[in-house]
Amino acid sequence: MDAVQVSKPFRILKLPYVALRNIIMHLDQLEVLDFSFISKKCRSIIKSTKFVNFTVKLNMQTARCPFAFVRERKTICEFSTENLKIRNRYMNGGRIALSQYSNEGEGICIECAQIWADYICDIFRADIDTLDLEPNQSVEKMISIAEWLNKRQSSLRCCYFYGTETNSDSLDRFFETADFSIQKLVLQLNQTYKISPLSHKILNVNCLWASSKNWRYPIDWVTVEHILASNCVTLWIEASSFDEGDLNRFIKGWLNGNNPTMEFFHVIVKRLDPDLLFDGIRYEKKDNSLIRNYDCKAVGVQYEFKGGFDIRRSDGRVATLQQETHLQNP
Amino acid sequence: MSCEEPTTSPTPENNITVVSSDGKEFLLDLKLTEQSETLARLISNFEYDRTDVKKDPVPLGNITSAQMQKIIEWLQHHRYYPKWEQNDIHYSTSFTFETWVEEYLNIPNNEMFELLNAANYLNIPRLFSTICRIMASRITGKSAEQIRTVLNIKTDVKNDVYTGIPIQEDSSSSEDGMSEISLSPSPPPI
Repeated sequence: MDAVQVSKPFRILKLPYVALRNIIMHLDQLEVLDFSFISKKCRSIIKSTKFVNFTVKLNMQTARCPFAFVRERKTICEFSTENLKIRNRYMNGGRIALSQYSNEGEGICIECAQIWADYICDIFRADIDTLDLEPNQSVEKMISIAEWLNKRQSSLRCCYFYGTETNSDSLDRFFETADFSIQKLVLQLNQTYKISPLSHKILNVNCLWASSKNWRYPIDWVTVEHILASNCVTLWIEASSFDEGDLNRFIKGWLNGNNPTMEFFHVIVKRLDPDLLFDGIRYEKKDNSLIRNYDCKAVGVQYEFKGGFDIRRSDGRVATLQQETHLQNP
Repeated sequence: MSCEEPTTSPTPENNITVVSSDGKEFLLDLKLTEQSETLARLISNFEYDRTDVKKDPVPLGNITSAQMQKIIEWLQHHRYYPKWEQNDIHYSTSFTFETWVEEYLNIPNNEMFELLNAANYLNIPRLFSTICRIMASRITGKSAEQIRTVLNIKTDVKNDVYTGIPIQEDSSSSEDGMSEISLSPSPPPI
């Protein structure tokens, strides 16, 4: 087809909108971004185009690709720091210094990420769906990110913090500053030092997934007090320092009406003594032949209860407790 | 995909006559018109598929005889293809085409533009979508400047984003005050 002599340009902007939209829909997100840079009219065409569903993920970690477009859990397109750098001249009048983009070992700077995120979300008429952050950012940066998000959107579906260094003051300030709601919070904090319990606001979410891969420094930054006061629907805590007494308090709290919206609680702890765990708690032991399933969509796990212990509270709600033993993780 | 079947000549019972904007008549097999939602609806509304109904010629005021000839070629090639289903989630960003399609659409831009408008007017979804994909393939992988050059779109950004220097307005760039397209081959200001 390249053999055709292009005598006149294709008058794309003269096409009926339905045709122009169809052409745009065949472009990937990076090409759409480029199309939006052609002119203000092109940008306005892009903004008036309803794209097929995808979500925008912003990664402020040390990532090669700060922006990803996700559909049905699959990344369909990514914008790398390099992609953004070569388009820097379009953004904010080219006033972002190229040195502010990723340097060796560092992620995109917050100012760049914010300017780009605002533009990308504007042209695709989407909010940021998922935000990945370093847990060791400075307090000032965390406050700046939270304040920026407060202005730009009322909710965030997913917020991930993961890293081997954690600044608990920064995390606290982030959650104290944040006015936007978070549906799912993932705290994968693998620091090898003790940190103080985090702000209670970390439990103002539908789903909390907290994990530490290091048994020498288990999760003691989420306490029973946190959990008793939370309205989480799903709680998943890995490598927790909870003992029988902590979990006994939690179970009794639930029986007394705490955690009214909770549907699923999963915790990995050291081996427990069932007598201490159920001290003062009435339960009904179910036969192992009774299989009950729970689809925990928030963490993408199909959970199978074999038998277990049923507990019932005064309003009639029943919960099933099951203890699994993994010898490699006592 | 290819569906080669022996072609049948239209007979008075199974065809209609369409008239292009320049007055040329085309005898069109009713089977072919099924690919055009506009024609199919018209045939259904006027019961042209009945043998006892007088089939007045259908004027197609927006289609020239050259375009109609090109469209009939498309309809005949796709005569036995299954009905086209456009699904929003299946917009493809990979661009491969049948050899026949590549040859068929190896035409100048202005003809492609008119053909796309005709496909839109007659609502021939397979042709419409194919031309849109071809056009998308010409944009894909190009920078904003390259797209500007290929499509000859003049920027309407007041300040050059490179230098911050105001861009001189080109008064000849628009035909109706809205358009940013010019048929002149002069490159856009960079």
